[in-house]
Amino acid sequence: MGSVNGMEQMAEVLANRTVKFQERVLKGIDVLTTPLDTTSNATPKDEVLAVDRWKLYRYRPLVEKPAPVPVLIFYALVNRYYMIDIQPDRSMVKKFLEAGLDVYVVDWGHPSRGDRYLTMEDYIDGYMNQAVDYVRRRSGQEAITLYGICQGGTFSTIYTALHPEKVSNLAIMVTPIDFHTDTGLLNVWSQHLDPDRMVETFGNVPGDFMNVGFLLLNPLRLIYQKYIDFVDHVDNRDFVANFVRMEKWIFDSPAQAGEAYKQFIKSCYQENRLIKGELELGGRRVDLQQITQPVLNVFGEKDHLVPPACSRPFTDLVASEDKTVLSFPTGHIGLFTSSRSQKEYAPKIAGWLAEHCRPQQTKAVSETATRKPLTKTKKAAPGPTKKPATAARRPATKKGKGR
Amino acid sequence: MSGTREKMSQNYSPFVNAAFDLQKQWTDAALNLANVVTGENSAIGGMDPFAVSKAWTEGMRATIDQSLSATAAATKGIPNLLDHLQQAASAYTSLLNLWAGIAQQGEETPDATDASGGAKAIFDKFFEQKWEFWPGRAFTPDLKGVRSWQQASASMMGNWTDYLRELGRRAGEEIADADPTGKAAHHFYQSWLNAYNSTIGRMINVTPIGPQLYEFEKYSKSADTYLKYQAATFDFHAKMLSTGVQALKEVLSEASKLFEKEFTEEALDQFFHLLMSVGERRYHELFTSPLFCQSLESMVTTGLDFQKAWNEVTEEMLRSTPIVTQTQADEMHREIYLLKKRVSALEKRLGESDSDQGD
Repeated sequence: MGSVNGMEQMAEVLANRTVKFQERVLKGIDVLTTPLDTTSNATPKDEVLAVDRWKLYRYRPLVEKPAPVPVLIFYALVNRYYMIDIQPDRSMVKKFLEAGLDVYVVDWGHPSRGDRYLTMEDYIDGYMNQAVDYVRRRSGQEAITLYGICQGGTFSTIYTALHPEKVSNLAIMVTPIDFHTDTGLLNVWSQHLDPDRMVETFGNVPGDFMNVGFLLLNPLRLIYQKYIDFVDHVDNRDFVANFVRMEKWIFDSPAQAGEAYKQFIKSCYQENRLIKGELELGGRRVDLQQITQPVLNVFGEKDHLVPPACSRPFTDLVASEDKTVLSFPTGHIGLFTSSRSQKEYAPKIAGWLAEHCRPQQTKAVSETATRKPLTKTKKAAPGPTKKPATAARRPATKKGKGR
Repeated sequence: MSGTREKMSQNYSPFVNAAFDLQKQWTDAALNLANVVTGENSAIGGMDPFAVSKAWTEGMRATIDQSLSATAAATKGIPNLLDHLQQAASAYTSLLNLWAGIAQQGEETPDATDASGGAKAIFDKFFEQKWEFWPGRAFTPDLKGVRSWQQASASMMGNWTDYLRELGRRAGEEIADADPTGKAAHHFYQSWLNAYNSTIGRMINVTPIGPQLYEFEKYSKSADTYLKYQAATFDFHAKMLSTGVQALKEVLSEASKLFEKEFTEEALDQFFHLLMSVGERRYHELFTSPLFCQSLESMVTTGLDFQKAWNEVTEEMLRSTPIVTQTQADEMHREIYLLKKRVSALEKRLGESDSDQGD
């Protein structure tokens, strides 16, 4: 590059960039100062149970006769469950409903200071069990399908091992099972954490504290490039709306109930007890060989939060004969939000669920039903329709409100 | 800000004005600090420890001046109060000054873990001093020969700065060839920590006695944990900066090829992508290194210790008020939690009993 010409070229390129940048910013001001549609969590649903901080929702089915075995989704305690319904045209749950499934989800909510003493046992044997029993009773099924996402997948796996009679199918997504891998920074760093000290200091571990750790995983991309990209597209209303929607989700970070967090980090991340068969909950050993139901293991090949090496061993550790692995060339969040997630990933997962939630003998009849959309939205039924054969406990505590 | 200030000046006491000046001094000091930090220096990835401590001292000096004028304005009309305060403060800071001077004389980096080494020498010397004042006398108005608060503080800070400068010089020699694992920065951090533990850390953690000993213990613990947290944070950021500088060097050496022929928009985009990918790789190497994990652990641990100590100080302050402290609230929460579990277990047993009777 000749010095004089080079300088002229550089000046010209930079001037062009500056002009374009100014134009974008001016348009961006228009975009940002007018109302944006950043709706998430818009798929119609009804609250059917509320206990302490958590709520159970049932999505309104899109077909007249949904699959008889319902799907109960457990999201992680980290971040919020509405990632599965992040925006109307990128909604995993909508794909499930379109496949004729009857879908429930637990919203863990935001723990209060008073929840710092909640243990993993309280979550798994207490809250999850209450939700499962409620859905079993309401649907009239002895066993239902669990769909666990991320940490919710780990919890669902533990639950299934402890209560196999209540689970007909287990699907987990981006779920850590083998925590001792050096491919994930979270796995490496967690060996250097002192969860006792954290909980002693904070009570509940703040969401903001966790977020700093997540941002540090890839600071250049997550702290700089992301916002540079934002400025590059600030004049694009749809881009900005999607960006803001994701920002809202990312930083809607509940604190982690102290004792449960401590237990999870120590027993899983630091001691890897789950796959060693050494994890105990309420005095009972969690044995993955107790899992004999059909299982689905979904993970992203570019996941930096839960690397494939953490998720993959799941299918080898359970005793099921019907095992399916779906790995997709995307990351932890891309499984939910990428354009391929709607066209490819979610339909494949929904296909597996639909196949397993609709017993063979009723399949032929039901398939007709799935294709027949409802003419109007059907409200959630007021209460359980049929009592399951096994003795299910009352779903709500005295504070709960079964609907 | 200036408009607000004018308005405030008209309505409020000189003390408020002095407080504004104080704030401005802090801001100037912070800006000065920022300017120094961003200056080009190979030591600690762009950060010059000498300049930082110098800038900080200047800011502190100015702050002390402003604090004095603010105190003077606030205590105007109260006979002898300021004199008493000054004398008490000067006695205390003279003590620190003396300590800092002795600490500076240590030829080797004091090592807290080495009782027979530099630290012991320093403290032997410290207690061998002939004390020119007795703390009780600090409160008598006729105390002469004790330097003013400003002079003593500035001198103390100056000595401390010189000491840090020497530490920094030694560390800087190693840091000049900073490697992305941050070993040199870590050495600096350890030196600092050892120096602190051997000198001012011992002062802060001196066994308290007297009626306020429990309160004093909490305050001193808070100060101690804060300083250690700051040191650990410095170590952490030094590693991050060092890696950033290394990444930038690599990118710049590659960038010359990009702009060899023409400076185009495409080349500019490629430059940005190169910056990101090299940075990502370099930081990933850093994040997986044992030294970084150790530094991260240290920063989180010391940060938590400080937060905990500060919580205790806050609770101490709240003790005399009718406000429920966090510890008390936690105790109540625990009781409620245990009661709920008990109720739940009883409900379960009751349900089973009903079911048995039904059968």
